[in-house]
Amino acid sequence: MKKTVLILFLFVIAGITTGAYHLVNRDWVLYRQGERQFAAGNIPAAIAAYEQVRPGKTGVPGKTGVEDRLAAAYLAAGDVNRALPVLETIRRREPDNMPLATSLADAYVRSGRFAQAASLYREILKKSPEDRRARIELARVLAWEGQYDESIGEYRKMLKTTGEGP
Amino acid sequence: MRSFHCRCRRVIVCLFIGVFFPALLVSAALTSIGAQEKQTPTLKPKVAPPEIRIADTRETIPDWVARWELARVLSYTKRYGESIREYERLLREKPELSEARVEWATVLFWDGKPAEALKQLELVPPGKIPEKARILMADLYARQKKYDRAESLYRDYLKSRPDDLRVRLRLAEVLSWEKRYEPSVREYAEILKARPDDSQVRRKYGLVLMWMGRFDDAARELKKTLP
Repeated sequence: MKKTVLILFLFVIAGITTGAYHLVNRDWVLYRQGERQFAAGNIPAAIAAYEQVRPGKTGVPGKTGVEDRLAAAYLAAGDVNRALPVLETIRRREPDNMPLATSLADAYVRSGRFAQAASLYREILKKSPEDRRARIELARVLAWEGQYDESIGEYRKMLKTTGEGP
Repeated sequence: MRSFHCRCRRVIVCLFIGVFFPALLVSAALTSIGAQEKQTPTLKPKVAPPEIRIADTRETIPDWVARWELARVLSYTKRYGESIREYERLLREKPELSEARVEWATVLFWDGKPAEALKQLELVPPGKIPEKARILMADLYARQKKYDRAESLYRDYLKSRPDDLRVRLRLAEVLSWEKRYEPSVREYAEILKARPDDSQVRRKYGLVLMWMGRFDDAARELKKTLP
């Protein structure tokens, strides 16, 4: 009888500690859930988890880290309109964050805001003129905007050719 | 009775050890062990931009991709000479790019070089030539008076798109140029059944009837086209 009570007691303790852990580290648990669901491709569940996370709590990345993941999840779900304000907020906070600028520019492309994308790619190229990806994306959005001559110029810069001779 | 109680207790203990405790552990593990790796979402433009992009660029962009896109943009601005040069360079590096070769042929045609265009199209495996380019190829054969090849391409196309009257008209013309008047007339009749008020087609039909020596029929058809 004593043994049974002891075992039951241990189980109760285990249950209480697990529950308490989830309660105390709620944000960390949610963030991990978001990461796991994102990796598994369950994007709506990942979004739901990321949206509840309070940044900066124990084990949870700061505001930018969480918002970046949330924006990535929105983009993965094809919801550019929800991703854009999040990315723009981070951009205002971290204007020198180039990977973020690239993500924002890409999101502008996806939403058909080519002029904004072009201006952002130009900013990226000012800081890193050798960024081939930004250069080709700029060339593309310029072409989509109908600015063919500028687009051709960017392609040529990328290929470092003058267009003269074979 | 007592042994029954003992058994019950054992069952409860076993249930705890065998089911509830592992379940607790698993649920704790599932919520705490998160996936570390970050996934990059695939980017696809929401709008359908003009056909420029060759590949979804992530990290490295080979020169040939940029050159191909440049050749396309140059062709859109009617800078055909420059476009042709870029296609030439691209295909020297990547001769297996059938799609690029078809585009190159089209630009050659736009630049007034039909023979060169046809030469390039002939280098593409038939299965890799899109329908539109097949029609261009047929037109180019017709220009070179290779009517049998043109006819075969038009007929192949019409098998899948029998309602394309524009191509049916070209087939009718090619047949008449080959002096195969009967099948040509059949094609004209088909077109006129769908578009009885098309006076241009009816006039061409009338001409074929004249070439056949069916002057009365020709006169009747030509009269129909007069106001």
